[in-house]
Amino acid sequence: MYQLDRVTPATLDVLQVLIDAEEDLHGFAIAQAARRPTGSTYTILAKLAALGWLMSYWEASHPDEGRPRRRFYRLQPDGLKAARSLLLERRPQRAQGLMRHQAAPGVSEAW
Amino acid sequence: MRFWISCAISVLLTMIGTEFSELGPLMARWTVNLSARLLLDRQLGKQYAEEWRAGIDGTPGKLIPLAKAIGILLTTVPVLNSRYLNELWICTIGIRSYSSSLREGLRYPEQYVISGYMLNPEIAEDYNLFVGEICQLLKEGSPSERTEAIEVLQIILDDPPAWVSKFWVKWIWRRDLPMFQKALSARGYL
Repeated sequence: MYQLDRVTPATLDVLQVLIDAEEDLHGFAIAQAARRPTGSTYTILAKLAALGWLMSYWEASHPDEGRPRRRFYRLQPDGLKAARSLLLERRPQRAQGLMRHQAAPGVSEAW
Repeated sequence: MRFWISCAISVLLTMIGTEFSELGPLMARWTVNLSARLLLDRQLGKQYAEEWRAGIDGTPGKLIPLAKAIGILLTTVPVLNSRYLNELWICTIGIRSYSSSLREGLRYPEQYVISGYMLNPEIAEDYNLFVGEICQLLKEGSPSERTEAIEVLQIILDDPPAWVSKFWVKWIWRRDLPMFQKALSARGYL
């Protein structure tokens, strides 16, 4: 797993969403939750995936047959660790929330 | 008279606006398909074609999906393409240095060019050091080791790292490898 060479506020927002998410999200949902344009969110997701922080998978089935499948994103365990430490370093004001989230029972197992 | 003209214009504009908004979802789909086709990384393009269509279909409204699709076209496509070209360029540098380090290896085995690879610098370094070892064998090894080094070279050309451009592998196969074999044969190494 490799480190991000450039960390923008948008990257931090996307990481925050991925950490806070209770279930895996698709790209458009991540953009919406991060309140960032879809276009820039996808460039960040592609970068995180290339660095090995993210894994993605197609949704197994969709009730409407023939409808395009969505692709869900999830932080890898190492990516989750790196994202948490990055957010703690860059956004210390939110550190308490992160720590609380980190300590929540069952969360780590979900990832 | 002016009143009627402004009424007619507003009615016309409303009609155009309504028609345009009706076409919005269709144009959004067309735009994301175009965006996916414009991606230079074909594999990623295939993935995003379906993924973006699903995202657009799931976005409520008639003009919002179009706005999102235009955002993808104007933001994601240029950034991902520039990243892809950058990686390709670095791969090309890697292959060039690989090729030149072999040439140099026949003369100056102690000098190896270490190439960089943006996303996986450790892999690039390992790869180049490995090539350096082959160079050393070609220069300093016994005849059997030299033959083995050429075989290893052929193997790594057959199965290069994923980040190495296929184009450059073909180029080395056609041009450099015969040249190395010829040079080694002329020196009685093979």
